Amino acid sequence: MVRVNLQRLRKTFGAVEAVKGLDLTIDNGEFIVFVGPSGCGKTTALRMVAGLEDATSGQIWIDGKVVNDLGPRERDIAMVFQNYALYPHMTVYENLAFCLQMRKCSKDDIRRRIDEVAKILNIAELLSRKPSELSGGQRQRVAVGRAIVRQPKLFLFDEPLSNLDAKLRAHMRAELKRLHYRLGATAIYVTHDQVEAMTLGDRVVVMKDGVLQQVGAPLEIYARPANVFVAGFIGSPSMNLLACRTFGSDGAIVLEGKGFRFRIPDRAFPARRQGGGRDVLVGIRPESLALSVDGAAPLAGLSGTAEVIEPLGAEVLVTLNVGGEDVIMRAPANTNIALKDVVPIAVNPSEFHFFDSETGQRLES
Amino acid sequence: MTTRRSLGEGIAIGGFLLLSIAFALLPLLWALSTALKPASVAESYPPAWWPSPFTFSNFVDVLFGSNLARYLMNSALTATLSIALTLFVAVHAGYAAARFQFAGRKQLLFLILCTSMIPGIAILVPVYLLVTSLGLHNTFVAMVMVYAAWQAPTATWIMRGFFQTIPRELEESAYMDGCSRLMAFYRIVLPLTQPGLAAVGILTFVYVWNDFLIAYALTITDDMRLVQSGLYLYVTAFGIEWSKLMAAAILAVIPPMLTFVLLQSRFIQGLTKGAIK
Repeated sequence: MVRVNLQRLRKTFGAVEAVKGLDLTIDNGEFIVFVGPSGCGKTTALRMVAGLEDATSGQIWIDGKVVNDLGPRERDIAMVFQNYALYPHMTVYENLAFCLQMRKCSKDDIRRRIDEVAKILNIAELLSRKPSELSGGQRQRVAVGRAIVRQPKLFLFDEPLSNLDAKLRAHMRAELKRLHYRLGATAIYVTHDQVEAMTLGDRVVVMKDGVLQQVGAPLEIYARPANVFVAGFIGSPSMNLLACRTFGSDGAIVLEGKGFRFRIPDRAFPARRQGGGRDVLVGIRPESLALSVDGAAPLAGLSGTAEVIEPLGAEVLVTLNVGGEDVIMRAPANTNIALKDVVPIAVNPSEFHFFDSETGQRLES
Repeated sequence: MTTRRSLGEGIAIGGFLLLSIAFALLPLLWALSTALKPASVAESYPPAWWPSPFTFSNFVDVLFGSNLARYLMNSALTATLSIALTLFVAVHAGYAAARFQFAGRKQLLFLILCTSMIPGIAILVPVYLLVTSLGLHNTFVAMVMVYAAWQAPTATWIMRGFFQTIPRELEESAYMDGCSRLMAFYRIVLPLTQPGLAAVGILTFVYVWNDFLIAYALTITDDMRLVQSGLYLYVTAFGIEWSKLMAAAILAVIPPMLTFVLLQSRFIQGLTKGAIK
């Protein structure tokens, strides 16, 4: 287990700056997840930690040492690749043994460690097979086995579940989590899937355009997104964002947007001291919205027309048209809404998130 | 999607294929027939298709009564060494062309390909002068170097195509496992290009085995002679010994034929690799 420290880490490819001054400390035994859309720099950052890409500037500290000038093999890091990268001409046993042979481990030691890993990952019966004879899930298991058999200082995962179907992905996600509980090793995991990020990470690093947007525990990020991008990226369905203008009046704030106008107590508005008269984005999670017909108090002035109804079994997602904007609401499975119904919406203003419409940053009190 | 052919189409295609096979095999069958005839019958007119009387004496004579066995050994040795040198150059150059980015890479690759388009006879005299001035005339070293130089450009292109199909992640995985770049190349990448190695090996073998021009120009003594120039000895000032020449030719055809039959599947895989995704 090690502590990893990234200091002002930058990477450019020609004129393109893929990672722009990343600062981050990863603690001993922490499972940290880099999440963001394609091209956000998360994989580049991971590859710099692995030693597969040279950092343009900045420092990478692993276990108290700067490793910028060390090659991958000198960093004692294991990596699980997106396409598994199992050696096709070797059996599973040989794949697992290869890294140990490179480290001049004895045959007995290799055998013992492979048996141990095979038991943990339930791949003992696959040891004599070639990778082409394995299913996607089995290959993924072997790829993880190849990483853990070495007992490295640090684990890196580069979207290891993205080639699996949805069911297998959920299963392997749980397996990885279980494995992390068992090994307690420091790990960096890269994904574009926010469900993976939320479920696996002790902390989540959200990136966009090479810039770290927010880092924190999954629920913290979900509850208090630092900006509009994080608010929209974390959570499925995404947070609803409504552009509006605020006005102060008699201890209340009036929010006026396209097709709606309603009052909220001024204590619910974090920038109340700066008064009204500013443009903001109001973020509302789909689960924060309720039908006022379900017994919740309606929010005067906020209603929408049901345009899409998506029953998911345990719940229903209803897309409402509010002043020309789509607003998604998570409703109970037994909700009785029909298409084109005009639905009055109830919401607790304390569950609103406010963002500056110019900077996109969260407004704090 | 499959298409059903009518009986007529099937017969036409089958007939065309049979004709093609006959066209290709006819010279070989005629050579075999001549090799199995005594000299007097072979040279009689009108020629007889079927050897009568039937004799193996020509094969026995050329194998044990002449230096043909030696020529065959020389050709085998030269071909093997040429394959080794060609592969050594081609796998490293092909890998560099596939993986490294450097200024003028495309132009260099094109230039390499251009060299293989020059007809051999055009540079025979310069090659002869160069080899002679280096004191390498009538040596295996000279022949191996010339053959390898001749085959390396095509081989480099073939190998480059193979290296391009191998995912970079495999090499990166090897680095993470503790390999240097060279170790990753030899232990992970190279074993995965076996069909390419087989294709290059066969192409080089067939080229060296069948070459007459270079072998004839660069050798002078009988102990250095390769099989194709050895066959030419049956063409004498007093006439051509057709039965023996054909027997020697048949024997000379067997090694490349066997090599091809044994490695056929890998060869085809090697040539078509990368053609489709």
